[in-house]
Amino acid sequence: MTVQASELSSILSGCFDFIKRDIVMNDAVITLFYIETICDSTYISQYIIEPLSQASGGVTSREEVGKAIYAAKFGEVRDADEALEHLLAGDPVLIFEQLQYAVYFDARKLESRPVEKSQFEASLVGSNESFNELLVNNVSLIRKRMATQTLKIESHNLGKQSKTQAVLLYIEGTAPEDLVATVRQKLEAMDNEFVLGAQYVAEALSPGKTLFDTIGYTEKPDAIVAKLFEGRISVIVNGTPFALTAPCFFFENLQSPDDYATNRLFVTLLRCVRFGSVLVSLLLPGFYVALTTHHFSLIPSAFVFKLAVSRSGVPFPTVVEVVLMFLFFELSREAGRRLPHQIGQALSIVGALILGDAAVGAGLASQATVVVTGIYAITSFINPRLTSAISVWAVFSIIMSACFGLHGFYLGFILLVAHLGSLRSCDYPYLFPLGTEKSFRAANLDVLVRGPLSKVSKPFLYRGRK
Amino acid sequence: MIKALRRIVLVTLMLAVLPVLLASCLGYRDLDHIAFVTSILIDQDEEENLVFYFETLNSIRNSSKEANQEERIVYKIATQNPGDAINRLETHTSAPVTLAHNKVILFTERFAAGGLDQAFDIFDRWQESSTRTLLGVYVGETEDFIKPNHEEEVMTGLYLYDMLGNKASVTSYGVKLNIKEFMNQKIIGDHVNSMSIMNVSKDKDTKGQYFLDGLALIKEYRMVGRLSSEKSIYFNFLLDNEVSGNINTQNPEDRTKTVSLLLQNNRYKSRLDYKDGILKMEIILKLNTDVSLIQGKLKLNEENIAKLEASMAAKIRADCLALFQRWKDKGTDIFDIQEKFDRKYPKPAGRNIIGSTELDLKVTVDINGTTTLRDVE
Repeated sequence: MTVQASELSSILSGCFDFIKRDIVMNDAVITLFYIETICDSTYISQYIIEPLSQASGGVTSREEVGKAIYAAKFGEVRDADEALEHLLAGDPVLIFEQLQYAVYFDARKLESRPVEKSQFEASLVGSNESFNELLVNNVSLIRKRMATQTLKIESHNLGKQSKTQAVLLYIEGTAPEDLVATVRQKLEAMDNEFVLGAQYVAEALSPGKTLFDTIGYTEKPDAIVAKLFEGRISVIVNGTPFALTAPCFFFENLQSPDDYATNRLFVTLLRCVRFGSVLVSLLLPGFYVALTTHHFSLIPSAFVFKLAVSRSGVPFPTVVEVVLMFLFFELSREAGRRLPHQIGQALSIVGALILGDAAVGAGLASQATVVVTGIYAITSFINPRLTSAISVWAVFSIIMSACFGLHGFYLGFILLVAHLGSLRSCDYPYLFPLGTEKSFRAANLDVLVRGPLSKVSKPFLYRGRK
Repeated sequence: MIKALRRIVLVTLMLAVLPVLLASCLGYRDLDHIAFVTSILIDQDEEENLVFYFETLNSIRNSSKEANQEERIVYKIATQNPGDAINRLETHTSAPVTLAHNKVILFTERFAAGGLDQAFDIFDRWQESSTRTLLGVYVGETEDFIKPNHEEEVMTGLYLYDMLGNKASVTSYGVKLNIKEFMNQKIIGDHVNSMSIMNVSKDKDTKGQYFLDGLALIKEYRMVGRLSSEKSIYFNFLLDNEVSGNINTQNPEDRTKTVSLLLQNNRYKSRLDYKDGILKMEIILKLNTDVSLIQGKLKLNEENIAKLEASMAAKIRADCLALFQRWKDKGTDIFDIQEKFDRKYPKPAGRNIIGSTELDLKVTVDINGTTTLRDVE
């Protein structure tokens, strides 16, 4: 026997929840080890200790071990490292000294939230189940939606010390083999000391310097199932209520869970609205600054006179005024994120007052700037996945416009498009199918137009991979 | 490392090109630090000085937000050299001046008779000047331009722009003419432009109110004549300008009263035929009208309607022919005949074709309906 009870005891001694129990049977000693906080003590008593104690002849051979304990899942442990791995994962270990034999069995009891309503991607008419922090729960939510024999779930332990369990999901034959191989290789190559969430994996899969998410994430199992069927891969990390998907394309940011549960024509209209809102939130502030500071001859006269009058008395240049209002808004948004929900509502009222009436009254901003900031705020809320990228690029656009007028505005926009065009998600072009395909049909008619679900639900071929 | 350095240098160069090449002519300016010129009146004094009246909008700073408002200031600059006018204007204002939102340029009759070219080039060539600026001739007192009787409308420039631009299409008493169209027409065909005349009421009760008062005819840069409001409508008929509004004729049942017909849509066809040195110009005018007002009593039966149509057609035809003959006799082509002739017959292009033009005008009036019938039992 290579697993010594004394060795395990010396390594784990000092942990208050480490339990060692000796069971004496006909002069033979069986030692039971488990971590109390992640194991089910009642289960161990009823299905392991009790049957062992009542075994009349004792356990005299390795074959009898299986008959003596009532565990559904158990297996042999060959060395101390393996025993420790099982113990720390929540599996109790039994050492039969006489037989020089050690086994682990499944008696895990991990605390987790129940399956709750999705907060981040709430759906009005579709499924609202969302992942929680327990990996097995998350996988079960996926499993119950797809009785597919080709679904593969590969387990990986990430983090040299944390040994966090993660799974790579894909449908064999549907997901491109080179994509699966690439992701698998990147997961195996991760050399983090610890992995606490999905973002660790996302950064390993897509280390690009960009504000746009080139790895998708969702907390809805139905969304993951759809993406798996489309031929993508997914990675779920234990302890994170989000699943990663790859490849992830820009136009996915404009899609919402309800898109597949409501009228497709209306969904198409909504997607156009979302796309319009991205453009407005990205470009409107810069366009406003460019027009009002360099090219006011392009503004209709009646409006330009009103703008001039509303700005009179504001002590700052227009660009400072706009950036200041942006700062107020971002402060308000960040505070709203950090505060509990109940206080957050009060904060939003205060924020609205400051951003709206008080800033104008105090002479810090003109009414037109408040309107522009307000429109920016509303449109940036429409696409929450793009919020961080939009807020930074909008400020960039403002600065370019203030420095160079409309020339700078256009240049800023061209740089943004060039940046988006250069991005890749697991080596696939981020703007797919734009620039890589002649028609949106290549993406199952599911880009701006939401096609019939009979077409959307078919796997499609990703092209343009490096 | 070298790749990153190259990228940084490229981006820096790209950004540096912009201010040097593109943005140098239009720098950063905040709207509240600009004096907007909204209208300009150009006059000529007895010493042959050009007198510019610049109406400007300035935004006023105030400590309370409700008090933010615009202020209208009219600056008067008299100069021999029009190029100095805008330079000198900037010495009077608290902020840099822009002509980008100048809506209207008016010329006094005296200045227009002397020739618009005395000052027109600064609007034609000035970098910030807009070609959409409307032109007109002003026959009122200059004091009324400085202090107009329009309390509700603070900016005279915007008010005049609407009068010259929008109202011209519904009253038939004016034409819309901007700098671009003026410059084009000045070198095409007859070289004659028609420009609305803006007058100011001298009536005790309505003193200072603007009104359209016919058309000024400008040949190249010089004002050569004037058409009254009544004649303007016939002029517009002959030129196929948009004509609408009411036109009056005799009441068939009462010769002392009138009937007004509202013009709805007009069809205009013209044909030129040049033979043996004579240009025959055929114009077919079909007017669709509604009865809009009957003075006195009139039974709207078929017979009376036919009479109305006939009398209206005869009246329009007679007045149009009289107007044509008058300017033909003067030898001045105000009807764009030369332009049409040059387009159709580019080879035998001859000057002053109006002298050998015969007008064949056919007018048909259709009364389609009447707004008064709605209330008839």
